[in-house]
Amino acid sequence: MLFLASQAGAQGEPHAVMARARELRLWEERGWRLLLHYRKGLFGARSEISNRDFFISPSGRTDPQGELEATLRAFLEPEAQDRNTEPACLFPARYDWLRERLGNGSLAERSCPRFDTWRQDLQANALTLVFADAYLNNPSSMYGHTFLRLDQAAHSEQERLLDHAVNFAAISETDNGVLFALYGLAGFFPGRFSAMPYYLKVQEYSNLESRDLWEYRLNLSRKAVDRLVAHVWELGRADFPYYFFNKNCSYQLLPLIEAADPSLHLSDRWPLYVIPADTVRSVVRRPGLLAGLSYRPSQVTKMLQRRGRLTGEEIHGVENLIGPGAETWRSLEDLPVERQALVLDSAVDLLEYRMDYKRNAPETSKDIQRRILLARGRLGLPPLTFEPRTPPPPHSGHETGRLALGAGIAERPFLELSWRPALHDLLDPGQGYAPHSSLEMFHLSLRHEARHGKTTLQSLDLVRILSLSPRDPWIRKPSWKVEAGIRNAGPFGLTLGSGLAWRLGGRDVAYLLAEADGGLGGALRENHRLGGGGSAGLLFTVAPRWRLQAEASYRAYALGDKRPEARMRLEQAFDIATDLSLRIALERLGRSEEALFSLQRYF
Amino acid sequence: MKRGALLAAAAVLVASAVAYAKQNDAGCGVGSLIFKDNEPVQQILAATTNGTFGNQTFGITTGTLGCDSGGLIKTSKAQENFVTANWRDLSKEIAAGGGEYVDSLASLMGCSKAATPDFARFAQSRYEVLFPARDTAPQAMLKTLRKEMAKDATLATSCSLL
Repeated sequence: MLFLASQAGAQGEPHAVMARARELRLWEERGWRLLLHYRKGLFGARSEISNRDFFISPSGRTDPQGELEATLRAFLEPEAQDRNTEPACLFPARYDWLRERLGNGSLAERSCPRFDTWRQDLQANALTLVFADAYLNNPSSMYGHTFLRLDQAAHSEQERLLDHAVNFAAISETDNGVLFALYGLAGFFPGRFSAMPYYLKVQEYSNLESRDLWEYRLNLSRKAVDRLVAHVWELGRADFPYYFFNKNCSYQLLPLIEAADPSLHLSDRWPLYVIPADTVRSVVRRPGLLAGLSYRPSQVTKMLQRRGRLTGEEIHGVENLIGPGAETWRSLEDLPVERQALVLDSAVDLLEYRMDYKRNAPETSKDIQRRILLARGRLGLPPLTFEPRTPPPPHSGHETGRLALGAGIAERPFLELSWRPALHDLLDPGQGYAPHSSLEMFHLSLRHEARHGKTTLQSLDLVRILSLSPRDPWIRKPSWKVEAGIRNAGPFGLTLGSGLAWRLGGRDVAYLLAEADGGLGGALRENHRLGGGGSAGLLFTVAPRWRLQAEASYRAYALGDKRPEARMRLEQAFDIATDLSLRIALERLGRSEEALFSLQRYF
Repeated sequence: MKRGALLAAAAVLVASAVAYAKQNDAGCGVGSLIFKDNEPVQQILAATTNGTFGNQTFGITTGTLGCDSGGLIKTSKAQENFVTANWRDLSKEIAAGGGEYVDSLASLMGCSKAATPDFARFAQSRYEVLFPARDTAPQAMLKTLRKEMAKDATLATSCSLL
């Protein structure tokens, strides 16, 4: 018996191993805390994982020591008949960690067929953090989404599609869109990790959702990647409560990376809310962690970039090609072969965009698609190289929070303090953000009048979204807006708007929206109003760091307080330094006018 | 008492493992997933939970769509699933003479790096044979491709997973 115990790889005597674990107080170590996802709470440690299956001890969720002892005891049991259901194979990361910490002769080497097969199929040797950017006409996607990709050693850069992605998301049980959103916000869905081929993620984000993907390759050692793979296997049986604001897709990736390499501290400071772009910044700023960055443009981005290479006549040719007429083919054959290929590729792009990946595409569209692809194939050309123009990456954008301090004058002088946790308006520096999209949540402004010494709530925008879609011959989406909150120390209002926008050159746009507006509040006669109207605006870049936005709106009310409201506003922004801007706003609401100068700091 | 707790824990583990193990192998089909079914409003709301399609079906220990491989698609089905999921991109790239999807398919068919450009040219020249009708099924295209490749001297020897 002594002889067996002294062989490396053999299991030690259970009491001795348990005593050693207690002596080392292993449950206090960062490695254990990370594998069990314990967080320090008001009443001690508590795991972020909520389901029983993840813990071996009944009180495992709140008892790191108890869980460690129960785990070690389970590991010290003799090997079970069914290798795949025994604790060492359900929790291989814990097993490896304990084995490493307790030293040779503590725990025997174990083989786990299912886990080993899975790990061999993955063959992961590097980790990439993938960021899915915003999609067209949907500012709420400006928050982005992040997931991981496990890069296989044998795969070249051209074979990344065959790698596997690890994703954390809420598991929804409802089809109802509104409930879906509410549940996600309130934490009613469990969040789980899943693994799938990367090409499925690319199909989903790049094609179906037209979102650009940014692949941040990380510098993790092979050992760290192995640890991550083992831990992902363990997390297959874990449920996390999912909260859109702070325990979301991005938040849960960081503890996972930390579990792989405990020397990294990426998730220590995420109190109220976590925005995916911030998690990417956290990784990028860590010295030595980022190995490289690749850009994978979405289908729509590629379509527009390809179109940028066509002449006006060729663009008309593309539009004709996807129509049903037969005479359009003649002009195509006059072009040089490479131009024909470019035109045909654009035609496929546009047709696919119009078909929109719907399940029941019209038969005529499929016929046209086939005709175009046959013609393309017959050209027999080698593939045209397509070098995408790479925009500024998402982590280069301004920080997501904004604090502003200003002084202004209305009837009397005042000071104004405003805080906006997220995210971006039309006058914020545009680099790294989707153009012509504005998403603001919980923007709070307080005003203080020195003379009377009173501080009032000037505005609280719960949500303010503006999506401008400038008229484009190929992309026809409505411009729209949603605003809910209190403005100008007035009633609580809800505004919905829809309309058109036009590109004037560069990033400049003009827009026109029809709006419906409702309000509730004591300041209103009969405490409510309901009506509509419209607004017109202009966004203009005067110079590289100087932008202005002018807007005028008029609303008439049919119910409740029928006094109409006319508003004009001119606001300018000057970028002084990175994450520091000056704003000058002039506004006229009805008969009252005000001016405000404020310094804005992004953090 | 400790032993009782341990036995209970083991029982729970075994029971849940058995529950996880009980699935039917429905063929690992992924083709049905690549369609956009949501209305725009739902898409906007879905941004709050980042609910992506098929998350329930890609659970790590339960396997992919009933496949008993721990969330990954078995190698034997890899070619079929790749062709089905990436049908549109593959069709475009085969017509265009190559690209990332074509290279990935070559890799799945076991073609050596040197033979990959030959594979791309070969597929392009056989476009009409591979896609004979408007509604060619992915599995049919793959079958035809394998058959054609077997007839080609270079590819039959350079691609090991035909």
